[in-house]
Amino acid sequence: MKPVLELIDVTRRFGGLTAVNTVSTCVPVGEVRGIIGPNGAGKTTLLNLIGGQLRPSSGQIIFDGADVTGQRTDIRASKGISRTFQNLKLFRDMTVLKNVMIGLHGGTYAEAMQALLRNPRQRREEDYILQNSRRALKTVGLEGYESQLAASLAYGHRRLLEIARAIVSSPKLLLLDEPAAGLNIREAANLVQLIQQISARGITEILVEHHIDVVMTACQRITVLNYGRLLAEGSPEEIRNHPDVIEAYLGRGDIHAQVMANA
Amino acid sequence: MATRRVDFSATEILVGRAVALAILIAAPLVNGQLYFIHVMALAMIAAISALGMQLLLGFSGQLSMGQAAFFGIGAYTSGILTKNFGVPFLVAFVISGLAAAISSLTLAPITRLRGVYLAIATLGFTIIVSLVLRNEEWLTGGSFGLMAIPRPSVGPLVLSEKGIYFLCLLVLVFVYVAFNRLVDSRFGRALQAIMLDEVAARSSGINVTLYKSKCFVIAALVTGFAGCLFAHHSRYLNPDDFSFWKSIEILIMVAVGGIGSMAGAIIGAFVVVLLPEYLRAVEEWRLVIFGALLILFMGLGQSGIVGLISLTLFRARAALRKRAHGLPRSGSVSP
Amino acid sequence: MQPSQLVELAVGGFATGAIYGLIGLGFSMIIRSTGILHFAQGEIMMLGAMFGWMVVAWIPLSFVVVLLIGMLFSGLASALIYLVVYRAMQVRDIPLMNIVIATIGMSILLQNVSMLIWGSEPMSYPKFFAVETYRMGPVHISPQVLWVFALGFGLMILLQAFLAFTRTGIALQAAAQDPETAQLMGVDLTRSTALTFLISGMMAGAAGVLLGSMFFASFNMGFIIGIKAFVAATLGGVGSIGGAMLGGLIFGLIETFSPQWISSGYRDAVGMTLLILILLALPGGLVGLFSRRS
Repeated sequence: MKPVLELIDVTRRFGGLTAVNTVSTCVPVGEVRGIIGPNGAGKTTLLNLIGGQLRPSSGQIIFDGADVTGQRTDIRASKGISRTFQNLKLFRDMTVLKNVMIGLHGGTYAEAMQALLRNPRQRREEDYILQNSRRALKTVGLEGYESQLAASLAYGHRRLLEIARAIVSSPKLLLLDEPAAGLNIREAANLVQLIQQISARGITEILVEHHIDVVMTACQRITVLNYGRLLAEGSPEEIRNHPDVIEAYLGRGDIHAQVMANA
Repeated sequence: MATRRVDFSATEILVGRAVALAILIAAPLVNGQLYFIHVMALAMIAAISALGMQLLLGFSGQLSMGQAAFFGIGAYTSGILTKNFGVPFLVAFVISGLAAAISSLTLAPITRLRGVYLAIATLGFTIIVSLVLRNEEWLTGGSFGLMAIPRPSVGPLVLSEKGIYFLCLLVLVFVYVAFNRLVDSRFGRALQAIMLDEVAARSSGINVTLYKSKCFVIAALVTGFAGCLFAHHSRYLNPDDFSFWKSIEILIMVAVGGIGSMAGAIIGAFVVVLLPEYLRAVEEWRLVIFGALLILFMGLGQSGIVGLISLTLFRARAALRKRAHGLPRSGSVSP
Repeated sequence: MQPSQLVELAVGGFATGAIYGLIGLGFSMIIRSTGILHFAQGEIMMLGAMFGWMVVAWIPLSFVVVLLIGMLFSGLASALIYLVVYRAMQVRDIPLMNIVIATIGMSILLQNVSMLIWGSEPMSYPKFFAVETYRMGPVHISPQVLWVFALGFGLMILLQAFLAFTRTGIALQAAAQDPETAQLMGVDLTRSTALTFLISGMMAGAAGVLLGSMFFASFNMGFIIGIKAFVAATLGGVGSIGGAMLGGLIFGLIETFSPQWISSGYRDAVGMTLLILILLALPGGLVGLFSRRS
């Protein structure tokens, strides 16, 4: 079976800085892949390249067998790549339900004319959007919050909302950018469960995370970046004991190093 | 741009709409003065263009200063077609809207521009169009204006002042209903998403540039219709009426009525058109007042008049609730 | 066209360009430090013209003094408007777009209040300059045009020096580029923004007096010229003062020579078309073209 995602020598430069340097990897269908690395390693940039928020300076990105390297973000989203954002990009002034409904824009069709006519197909589609959005909210545990404004939610719930918006379209690939940031231990544990639930539905996931516990528990394979380059790749066990990885963290005097050493 | 959420219960909305419609239908029957009917029709025409502006500003976050251009294109297209070429009114009506909509396609590349730059680019567009209207005398009559535009007619029936009034009302109701449907749909949600967070909108599969352009086309279409109605209502067109001041006037209507509310656009339009009629005594202060109102409403961050109404109702509801709960609870345990 | 006519027109274009530059740099400074497109900038220029006219109608003074007084008044007006209105909105976290709309309201307000105060008739400045033109060979140049050009560019160069070489100026630049860091380094953002508005207002006021002395002062002179000054600023590169100077110069020339190829009725259209083209094709302006950006 072809991999969901294939990166071939993907590079991204910003002026003189090479944020991502010839990174190549393959993510098979159904995997939960973690991307870790010290600060500034290029993790979020890599996610932006996969999601289409940035274009690579060189290299190729193959999604589901098709070359999407130059493809616009919205087309990629319609083809099945969804994501959450490091600093949360919710539609703050919209209700929780509406936020999730937007997540289904990609696979639906009603345009202005259909909205005006309210023909049966449009009404069926709206119903479909509504039902699936409610289902997604239930999956992440936010069913009671439908009509609240996104801005009024507690932080942990806002993170869940973004995940709901991303999974409602049943994407082929879900990109999670530091989904555990700012979560307490209980919330983080729930997040790991959610990630596994999503994976059980057949959705391939890639998560960038600093929360080592989350990565080690939720991911089947981990890619380590350092200074934009791929440093190591392997199972959580292999990565935990990988000398290069430990050095990358330790050598920085990073707090993560100690966590890594004790993980 | 974020707008403060304005909350009305379903009942309040229904009642509000019913009352407004009743008033508008009854008005010319109650007060038969021609001048009154004339001004009310003008207000409704303004309301139609304000609705177009609201779709752009309040729902997709695009500050367009180009609405006057579409208004003018619609007006002159219909005026010229009916007067010089004998085109029947209904046909001219449709063509005016289309002409304005097509002209908005030239602005498609501009929709890429951000906030203030979009505003000034569309302002430039308005100036260019108004210069064309003024300079091309052979077509538009130039600064002498376009005169003796025929009355609107449906077949052999020529519309009277009252007839024009009800025609405008019909178009207004139609556009209002249509826009409400647009907004409460996948299309409308996409627009709002674009307004609130473009990157997130893209990442959810929304083709931002396409939707922004569609929004412009729709807004231009209805503004073109409004222009056509204006031409046959006033029966005389002067390029001065379609300068950037008109665009600013339309902005004021939306800002004063409430950004983000379709009803607000209509209310704002009525305020802007009717207020000067009642403030005849302070005619020269009219624009000073509008300028100050604009600053005030933007500064208060309120959603304009609609926001004020909502706030008042909210407080009234809260006060009623307090009074209701002021009664002693039944079944309380006595010490 | 005769070469002498060419020179005469060019000098006229430079003078117009100086005026656009003075107003345009105000746009640039304000947008760069606050993100606000100050629609009322043209009206600030108009206020300068009006104040200058008022002063010289009562007391006969030399041109430079009138210029300075006009500058002072409009600078203060601009800073005051910022402190009382825009800053009040910023403090309450009002979205930027609302503030920009408020500047449109301010523009309307200032225009119409001016009309109420000074009437709708355009008002002429007294003749400050000798009527006989200077001659350099076949070229005739009116002293007025030369003065406008010299004073206009002189002021802009002085401003550049102020910003580059004085402590306050450098702090101002820093605050515009990176408000948060500047704040951490002890720069008071409110003060520096108020100063930005003050300087923008002063430059616009100078333009007003210069323009008024060349033609006349009237309540509605601000809007179109304001938009054109914005075109100049965009042509040069929004946010850059040198860019506003350069853009002003070039745009002044373009406008002055445009009657050669298009009818005078479409003169304003030149600026508007140029604006749209620049925004679409070259958003960083000429300055953006020359500086290396990643």
